[in-house]
Amino acid sequence: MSGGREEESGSAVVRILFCGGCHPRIARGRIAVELREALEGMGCRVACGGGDEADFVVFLCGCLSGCAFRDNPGDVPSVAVAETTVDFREVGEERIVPEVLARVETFLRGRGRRFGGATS
Amino acid sequence: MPLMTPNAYEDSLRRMKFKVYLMGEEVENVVDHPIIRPSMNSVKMTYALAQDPEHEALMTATSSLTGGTINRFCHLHQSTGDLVKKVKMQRLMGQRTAACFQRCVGMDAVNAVDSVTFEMDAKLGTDYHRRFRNFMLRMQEEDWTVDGAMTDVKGDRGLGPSKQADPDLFCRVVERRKEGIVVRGCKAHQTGALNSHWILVMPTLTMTREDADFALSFAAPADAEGIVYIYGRQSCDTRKLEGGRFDMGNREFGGHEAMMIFDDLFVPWENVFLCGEYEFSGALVERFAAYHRQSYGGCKVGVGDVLIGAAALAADYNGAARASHVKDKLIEMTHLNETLYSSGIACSAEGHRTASGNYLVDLLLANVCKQNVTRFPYEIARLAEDIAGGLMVTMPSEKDLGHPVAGRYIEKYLRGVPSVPTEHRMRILRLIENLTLGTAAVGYRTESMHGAGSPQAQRIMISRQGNLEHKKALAKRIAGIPV
Repeated sequence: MSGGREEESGSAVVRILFCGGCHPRIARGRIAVELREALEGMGCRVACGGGDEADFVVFLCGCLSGCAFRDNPGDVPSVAVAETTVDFREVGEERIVPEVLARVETFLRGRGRRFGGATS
Repeated sequence: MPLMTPNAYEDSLRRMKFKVYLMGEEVENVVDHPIIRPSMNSVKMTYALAQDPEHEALMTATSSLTGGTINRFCHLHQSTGDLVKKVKMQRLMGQRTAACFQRCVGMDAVNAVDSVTFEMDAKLGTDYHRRFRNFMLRMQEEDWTVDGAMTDVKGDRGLGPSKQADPDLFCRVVERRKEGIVVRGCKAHQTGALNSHWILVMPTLTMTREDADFALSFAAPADAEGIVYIYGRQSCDTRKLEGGRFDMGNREFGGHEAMMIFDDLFVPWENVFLCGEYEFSGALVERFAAYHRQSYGGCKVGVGDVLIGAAALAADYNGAARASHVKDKLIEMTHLNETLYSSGIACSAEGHRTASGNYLVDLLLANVCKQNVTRFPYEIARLAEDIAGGLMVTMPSEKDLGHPVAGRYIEKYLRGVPSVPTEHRMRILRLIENLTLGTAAVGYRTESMHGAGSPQAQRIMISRQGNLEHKKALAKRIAGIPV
């Protein structure tokens, strides 16, 4: 997976990559919808599923096996959701979205960006 | 000394000062006692195979703490590949010993304590993970065998720890001092305790606030002052005192269990990893149990390989190998054995990383694995006895075979196919006897039932992990019912 087109478009591309969904213990679809709305509100462009374009990846896995990030190793900054864990720490399903958003915020700050997609 | 030699391991045990009772006597020399020694040989094999280039890929690992080569039994699993290799190593060990080789329980304990102490420190600000990692470093550097100790004697099963008539029926802290804690209680069924350098104690079940003194995890030298062992009997164990060549079925290897009594054992704080934080006791029990239920998908399969081989040889020696029903029984035994292996591998391949960085098996599949283990070895054993025939339990002793008069009759009348010596036929039948109802049946049968938790414990976990609501939603979607 390569970097996105942040420089060209002015907004970071966050890609949501799902596991296959054979044994989900969380509502991946609902979480993805909530993430998309929040991320777009932060000025990010959101892409779902496979594809090369990504500045940041949200791996969204229904169970702890974590197939999405296990099967897609890469060097793009990312956060791993597996069942009710975020980056291997138990947070509970209701905290998944805010925990992921916090990591995206940290990433954007590290890239010298403010919310809303404008450069600082 | 990242990898101890087998002889160095034996010598290290000789230097230890265990307080042990066996058959009404205190044992002075644990290593050479004829009833205990075969179990030491099994653990010794974990050291021997680690030195063997033919097996080092399974028996050794790269330490995540030091980067050095260590015995896999001392390893914190760093990938699902490590979890898979663990199961394969256990199968190999079962094949080479046809017995319980005892060292798994410590490996499973350290992996459970590692992640739970990390999470406990993150939430409560305690200092347990640093202490535990120091212990792990010493374990890896010294190549210790560690006995994971979980099962309390539990008294009245209808009552919790703090409600027992005798509060010592669950291990507990009886005194907290500036330098450490004093522990009293008894762990039952302690596999390999007398072949271990250290013990790693864990709580026996999920504790509540009122049971906080029983929420306890610590490490101690296995021969520490204040620990007393009473050795467990095994079916046919006194055959090992007869000095024979093959009546014990497996002369070289075995397993052992013992009661482990803490008679006001003092433990310095540096070796305490849980003390009163009852809310983390459940996670510790659950993770240890899951690792150990995975283990059975390897070790029992290896022993099963030997039993299937023995049954096939018995059929050969009886002249029955070509009978279709015998072939079918061997197929069934193999099918059952490989099904156990499949779930051992599956729960490993579907494992995941924990917050501390080590890897944990898939809980549902590990419990399915162990649930199968409570059943399939019994059926494999039944089929082995079926193929072996009744002579397995009626034939005379090896001393009669060696008798100048009786031996001639035995030689003549107990021969099967002409090309196989009578003694060989007797040896293989004794091995089947050993595995199905002798000393090794402790490990292959009843331990398969109750070790790593009795069947109902797995069913509770399967119920919790089964994700029934997801299955209902699937059915609704197919049936056209709004989800």
